[in-house]
Amino acid sequence: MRPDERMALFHTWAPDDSPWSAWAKPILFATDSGRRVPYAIDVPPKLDAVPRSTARTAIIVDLPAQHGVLCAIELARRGYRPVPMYNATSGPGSNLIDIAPIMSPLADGADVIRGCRIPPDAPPAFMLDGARTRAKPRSGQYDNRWIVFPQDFPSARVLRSHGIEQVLLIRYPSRLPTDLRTVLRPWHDAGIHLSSMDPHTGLQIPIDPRVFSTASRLFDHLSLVFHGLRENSAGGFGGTVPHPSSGSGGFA
Amino acid sequence: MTLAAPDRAIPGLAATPLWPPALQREIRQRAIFEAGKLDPQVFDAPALAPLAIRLAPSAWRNLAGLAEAAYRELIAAETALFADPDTWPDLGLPRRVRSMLAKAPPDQPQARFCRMDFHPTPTGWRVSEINADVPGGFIEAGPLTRAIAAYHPACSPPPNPASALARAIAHAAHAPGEVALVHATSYADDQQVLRCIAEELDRLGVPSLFAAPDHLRRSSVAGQWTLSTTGRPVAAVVRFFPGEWLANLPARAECLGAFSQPGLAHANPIRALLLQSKRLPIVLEHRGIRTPVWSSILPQVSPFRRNGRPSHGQGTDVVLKPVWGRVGEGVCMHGVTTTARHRRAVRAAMRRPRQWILQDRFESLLIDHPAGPLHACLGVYVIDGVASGVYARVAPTPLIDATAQDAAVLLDPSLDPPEPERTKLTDAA
Repeated sequence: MRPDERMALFHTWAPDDSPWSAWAKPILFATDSGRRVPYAIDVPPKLDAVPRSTARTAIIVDLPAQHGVLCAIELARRGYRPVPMYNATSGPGSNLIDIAPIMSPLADGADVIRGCRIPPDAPPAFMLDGARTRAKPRSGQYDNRWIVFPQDFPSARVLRSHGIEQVLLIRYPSRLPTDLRTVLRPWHDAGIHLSSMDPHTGLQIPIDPRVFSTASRLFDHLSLVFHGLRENSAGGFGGTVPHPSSGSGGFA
Repeated sequence: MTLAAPDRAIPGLAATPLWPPALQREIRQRAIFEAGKLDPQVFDAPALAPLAIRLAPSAWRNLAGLAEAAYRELIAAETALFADPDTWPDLGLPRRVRSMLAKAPPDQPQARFCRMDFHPTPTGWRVSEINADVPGGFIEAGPLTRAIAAYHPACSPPPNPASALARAIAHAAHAPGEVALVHATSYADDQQVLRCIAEELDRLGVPSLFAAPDHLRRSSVAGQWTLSTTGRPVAAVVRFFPGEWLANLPARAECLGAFSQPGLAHANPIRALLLQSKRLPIVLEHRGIRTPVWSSILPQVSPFRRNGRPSHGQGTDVVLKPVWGRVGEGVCMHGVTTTARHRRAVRAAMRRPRQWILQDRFESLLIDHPAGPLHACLGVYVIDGVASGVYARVAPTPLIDATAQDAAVLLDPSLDPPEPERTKLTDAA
């Protein structure tokens, strides 16, 4: 892909007129090789229960690969501003996370996004790959799993400044991933209402506040250190709590 | 825009005007798609400050001279410490890393890169630390500075440390194959730095590949290493993976042998950790190893004692720092750090005092600016002993941490006093 094409695609998904574009992650667009693959979803998401975009709800779409992108495109048709947050790298050989099933619908959906004429004050639908940490690397495989951090998202103060008082997670029912919990915890502590929706059924339920308890905070820390990282300390996540740019040798 | 302090002990440092919003957007776009800065937002603010720092060429020469002189002393100190394993525990090096160091050959081919972080103070430039192991910022000091310089035609960019590092690596690598760019592959923030180095290596015709430490495998050819992802041989290892993290690999991990392989070039070799430890000044003093230039610019460092006080000075005049902290993590400064965070750090230091140090606090001078006064820290790169570039991080507080913003540093001759006119010599004279 030519650099101007990559830039144009990124700007389709993160236009200057949306305040939420500042948080869009550019890596997939900036490093796009142009490789595309066919993709499909078995069942379209049931989004009838999603609040109208005028209801000042932010959404986090946490679905795997193309499922997340296609869900976000549907939300765009309903007046939400999709914000790609994919922060996956790529490397030589076999990559653990294939980013082509994400990039392909992002490219294909560009015309739809442009055609939606999403208003500048549309609430955000942050897009994550629900499979970003699910697989485990085989020997010799390039480990490009990734996680999100609180600093990747706007603060509760910023959400509120745009009239947003609730956040809806669209994801398949399962235990809330540790990284997402660390993102949601400051919002919960600030009084933002959090709920979750299963896209297969459309059923919406509040997120149990106990998942943000002090005990779970400790569990999350230990989980990152001992489970997620001890198994994989050699490669993808390094050997300590995964703070990005920990290797950057910062100014202090 | 000039220094606000009445004492102009550090002339030659100022800021550009604030960029208008349209220019900020344009520079942001160029930062992403030309310079490769793929982390444009951190928390609620852009990663890039909406201005650049202007530095007088004479000030740059001063900083460069200080950095090079300090570097010469530190490399000599490193050689002495490397030959004295009894000092390694006192530096706070984990046991596993000490074991790796013990196997590292003394004459391993290498390219060395570090960054010294300078702050303007009323008594001259002071350094808060040296990042000798895996300093970042090559995008900001390299291609991003060049892109921004185009908007300030009266200024020029300093040297490009990314291209200097690439040349150093190309010079050091003698084995056949590709340069392995070793990092924690799950972090886009770290890969982007190596992407920048890879592009510079590509300009020199040197091939490279991204890799995690555990991709390094012994080849069937003695002394050679390959990557398990490609099967191709490795010419050199560029490590952007903190050395102390290698201690978390399994003790028998095959890849560990690569870091002590004679003949395989490394940038940086594992011995760089000897300089990375913030306990370095304490150990140098104990061993009687003198570093006069370095000691003149680095505020005094003391061990953390359980009574919370250093061997000198008062509690509020010192900064509490973790020995292996990066990006300002864990650094505590009275009046800046929250009380809760300070308490957590002190508790951690009480539990493991040898993993923390106290450093005398200096007064960071402010750069006056319409957007509000700014503290600036200038990171000067030294590549194989030569000062090779600089960039800044700016913040409204004297603590430069992960919330600080990046800023290009541009050389502005107008900040230097004009040279006196030469007296004309006549034939009569």
